[in-house]
Amino acid sequence: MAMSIAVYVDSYSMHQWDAYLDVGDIHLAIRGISDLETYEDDVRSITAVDHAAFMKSAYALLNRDANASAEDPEFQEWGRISAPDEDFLDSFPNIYQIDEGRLPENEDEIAVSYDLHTYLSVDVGESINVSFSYPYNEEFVIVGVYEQQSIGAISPYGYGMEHESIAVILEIPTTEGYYEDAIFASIDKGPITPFSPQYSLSYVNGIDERIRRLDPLYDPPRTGSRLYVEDFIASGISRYMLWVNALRIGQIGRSMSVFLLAGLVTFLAIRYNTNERRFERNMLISRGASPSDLDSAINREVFVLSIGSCIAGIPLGTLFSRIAMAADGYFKFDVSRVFTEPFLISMESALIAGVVGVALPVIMLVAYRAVYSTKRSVEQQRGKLARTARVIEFIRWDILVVVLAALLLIALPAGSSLPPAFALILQVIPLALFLGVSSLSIKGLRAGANLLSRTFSPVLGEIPSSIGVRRIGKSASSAGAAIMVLVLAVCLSWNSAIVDLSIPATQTNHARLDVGADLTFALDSDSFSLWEDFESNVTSHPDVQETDMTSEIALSLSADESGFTAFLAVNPENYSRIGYDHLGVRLNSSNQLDLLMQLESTPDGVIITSDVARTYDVRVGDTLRASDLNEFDPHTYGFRIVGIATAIPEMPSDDASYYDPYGGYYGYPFVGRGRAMVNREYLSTVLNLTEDTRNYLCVRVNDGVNSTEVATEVLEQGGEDVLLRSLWDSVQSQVDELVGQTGYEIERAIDTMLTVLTVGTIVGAFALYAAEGVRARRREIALLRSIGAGRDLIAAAQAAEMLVLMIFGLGLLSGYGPLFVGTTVTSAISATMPNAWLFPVSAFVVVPWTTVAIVLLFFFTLVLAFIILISLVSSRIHLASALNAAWAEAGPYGGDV
Amino acid sequence: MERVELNTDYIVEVDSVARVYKVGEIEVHALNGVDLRVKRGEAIGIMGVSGSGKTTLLNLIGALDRPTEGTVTVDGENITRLPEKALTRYRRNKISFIFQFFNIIPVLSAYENVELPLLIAGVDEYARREKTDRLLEMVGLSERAEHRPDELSGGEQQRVAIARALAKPDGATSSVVVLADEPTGDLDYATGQEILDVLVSLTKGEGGTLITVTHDPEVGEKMDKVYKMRDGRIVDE
Repeated sequence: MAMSIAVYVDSYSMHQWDAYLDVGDIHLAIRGISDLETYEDDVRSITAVDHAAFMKSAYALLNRDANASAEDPEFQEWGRISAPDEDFLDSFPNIYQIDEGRLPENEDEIAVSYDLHTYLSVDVGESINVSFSYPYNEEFVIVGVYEQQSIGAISPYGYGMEHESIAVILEIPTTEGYYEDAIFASIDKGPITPFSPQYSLSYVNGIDERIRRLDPLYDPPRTGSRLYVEDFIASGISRYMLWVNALRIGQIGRSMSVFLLAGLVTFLAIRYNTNERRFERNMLISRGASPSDLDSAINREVFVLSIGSCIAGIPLGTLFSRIAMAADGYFKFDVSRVFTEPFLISMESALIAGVVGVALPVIMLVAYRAVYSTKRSVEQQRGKLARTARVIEFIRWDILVVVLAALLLIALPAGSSLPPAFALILQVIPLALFLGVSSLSIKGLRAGANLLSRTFSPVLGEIPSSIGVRRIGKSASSAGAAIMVLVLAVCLSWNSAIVDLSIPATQTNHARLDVGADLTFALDSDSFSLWEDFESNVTSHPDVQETDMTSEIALSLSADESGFTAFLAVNPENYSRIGYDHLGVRLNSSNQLDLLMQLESTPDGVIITSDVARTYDVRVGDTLRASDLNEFDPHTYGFRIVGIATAIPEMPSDDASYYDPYGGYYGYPFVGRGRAMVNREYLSTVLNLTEDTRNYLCVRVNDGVNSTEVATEVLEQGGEDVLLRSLWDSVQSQVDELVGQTGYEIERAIDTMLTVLTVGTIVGAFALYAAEGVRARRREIALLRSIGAGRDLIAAAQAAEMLVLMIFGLGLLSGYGPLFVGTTVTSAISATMPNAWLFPVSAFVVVPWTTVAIVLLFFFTLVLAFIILISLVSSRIHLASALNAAWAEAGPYGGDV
Repeated sequence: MERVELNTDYIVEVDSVARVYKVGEIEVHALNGVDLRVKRGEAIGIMGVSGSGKTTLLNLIGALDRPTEGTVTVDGENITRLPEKALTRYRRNKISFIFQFFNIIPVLSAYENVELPLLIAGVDEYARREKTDRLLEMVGLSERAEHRPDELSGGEQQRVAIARALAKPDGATSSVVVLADEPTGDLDYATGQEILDVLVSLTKGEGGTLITVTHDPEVGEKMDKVYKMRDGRIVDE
């Protein structure tokens, strides 16, 4: 399992490796010494350096104030101007790609970047001024437009723009100014491999060090090199290593429940092994072997088996990782991806999988020994400690754990408002609860076997009930554990299926409140004249159902700025068909419809959120006074409160902060809260909506339509000119942004793989349950046959056992399942949601009932088929040999440990 | 030799029975042409060293195994080639086993263990209860009827096994053959003697027939007849 996760992460990470190492043709930039140009040949002569070329550049101000016109307004643009020489262009011919014209060939010529050409309307043939040193300008003629290949991987601290040139000239003047020389180099990337990022990093660091050593004054650690090497590849590898390690740890952490399952099965296997070999052990001890030697032999055996399983884990892990690679959602497969997606097992992964694969059985062996040797010591010894321990045994740790875990679950509010430490506890609680419930269920089965037998006797028949059902009680330790493995496996699969639907649903409902409609455009008041055309363009789009213009203004409800509250002005009836409430329900279908209708009929009415009502102690019917706090001409507006809502929709914003006069600007974390909704028609009578408010066009699109595509199509028709700072948002884009994240895809794919692997743990647990009981079962069957029981009676006893196991499992599932799934789903949603905003409802849990039923049916059918198979195999016995064996083995003191 | 006329005095007739096991490529001749006659109500002992074929002979009479050659006839019925269902019926009505290690079902109480053959035979509840109570009383375990096997001593467990062996529907006991394999092998001397007395007296008292396999010469002394086996043959009576 560890290998599967590690191989999947490795293989998937190849995309990230490629992205981080896609640094272009230039791999290194060397700076920092005044006579840098003289080092060019030395750098070139370093083994592993393919190309190296020197380039001068300077920071300068490009401006057009001298020859501005109405079409070409003046501008000033500060940026890097480079002067690549012939040597540089020969070494790195793809860095400057000409779109139009050519690169400069004379000293008064300049080529400009495509961005400059596009956004500032700078064209070939025009003149432009360059100021290397204020206030001196030099005039250049534009001879070309180029696009520059980005130099260097995107830095975690910047946007990779630091090497971008806004213009290229033939030679940088040597007057005063901000100059920056650099030698750019490329290296042999052959030895760089994702198989061993560590080795790759040492390889590129070695090259960097050799470059630094070119400085004769370099004497580490006393004197650093004056040659500063910026290694884009090393940076990419480091980022990849950080990313992949975090991903591995994160995914292994997410899979703790499945590791717990594997641990439980391993524990059962060790217990089974110990019981099976008790006779052999006693015999060896009776012949003089020391218990510690035998323990050492078992340790070695478990260790060797673990290593064997690690080796076997490589092909199996590879196989299962391909399932995850093929998944592009939870149980959504694109089979072609099995073959097209990259494949990688790195050294680190093999090591991690090896450590986990060996550590898990060894930990379980130690745990087994600790539990049973302590138990034996307590039972056998007569010292004070043993007596104290016997007293302590009265404390039922399992009850304690279950009660504490349940109390914590009730006490800790689920959701994003939880402090991180509590969120962590919340993730661990279900597992603690699982252990507690496991223990209690085992004891419950033991103690309740007779009761169950009597209860089921009228239904199942006296003999099947008394033999089959009580057999569960006898082997309760493994039956209970096997059932708990099944219950946990079902819960985990349910969890994955529910999370798969709930995260997009939560994001959709959050986005509906955040965007205020399916799609909302922020309109620029400067383009007011275009609004009508834009609205009709949007309305005429075939996928648009309806639009409504809304306005928003911040008015203070107190005498100072602390009372600023957002007032959203809408046309209530129209907007009720477009906007959503905090539950993601269209307003005209939600409880808020009545409030909106009141607002429609009460022009000066206002709907406020409950937190506003609480803060200002106002209620329905009161008058709410709000002021713009204008320093020179303050206005106060009065609104009649017609309703109080949990939340009021937000509009898209690029200003996510509010002003706190005591603490400066703070992010306002509550979405839909601290707001008011008023009638837009009324508001237009008391202030100028165009000038005094921010205006939005809210759009309802047809069901199932991608609102982002609608927005893109509308904006392509010139709609961009109407927007305020290109501000628009859609529900679809917010959902796509979340589900398109690499981490989200990885989690769904790993969930798919783990669900498949869970089947293995169930088969393992039930194989142990069946194998553990097979000797006793065969003896019982032979005995029953010897006193005249027919095969049908034997089968009925087996069926009774299975049936009661199933019913017990279902009972546990109905009690434990909702608790586990409720907690884990809420935690998973809270952990996955993209930002720190707090919504009135933090998680919308969507239960795919069909999938839930299929999962339940699948696992129980699997177990049923497995037990039937085992029963059939174990009932096909040779009576004489079974009973003869039984005579030898069925000692009266041979109870299992 | 083919027999054309059954002697009804004999409840068990074993004729020229051989049993060969294959262990890998090797053939092990566990029984080599055994002939044995046991009269109704008789208590016989079969003695011999380990590997002489005592248990194999018991398995064949109890229909736990089939002979390679020869026939086994019990109460007039040749069981050698009976189908599985008929064998089940045969074991239910005519055979009872007592094992060295008791082999009582650990999840059932002493009462339930004794009641089990009657339940399987479909005896009605009243008769079942009456018979079970009587048998437990006869083996002296009325007070410990609700105890589980792990709460009983070795001797008590073997008493439960004896009571279970004799738990047959009313009227069928006289045709029951109790097959006991080393019934005192796992008990101390005094308990063993006590158990043996109970076993012989109860079996005979109920009208059953007892075939006991043993190493113990003292067991043999309590039997009507003792046969000695060696290398898969009965060599002495």
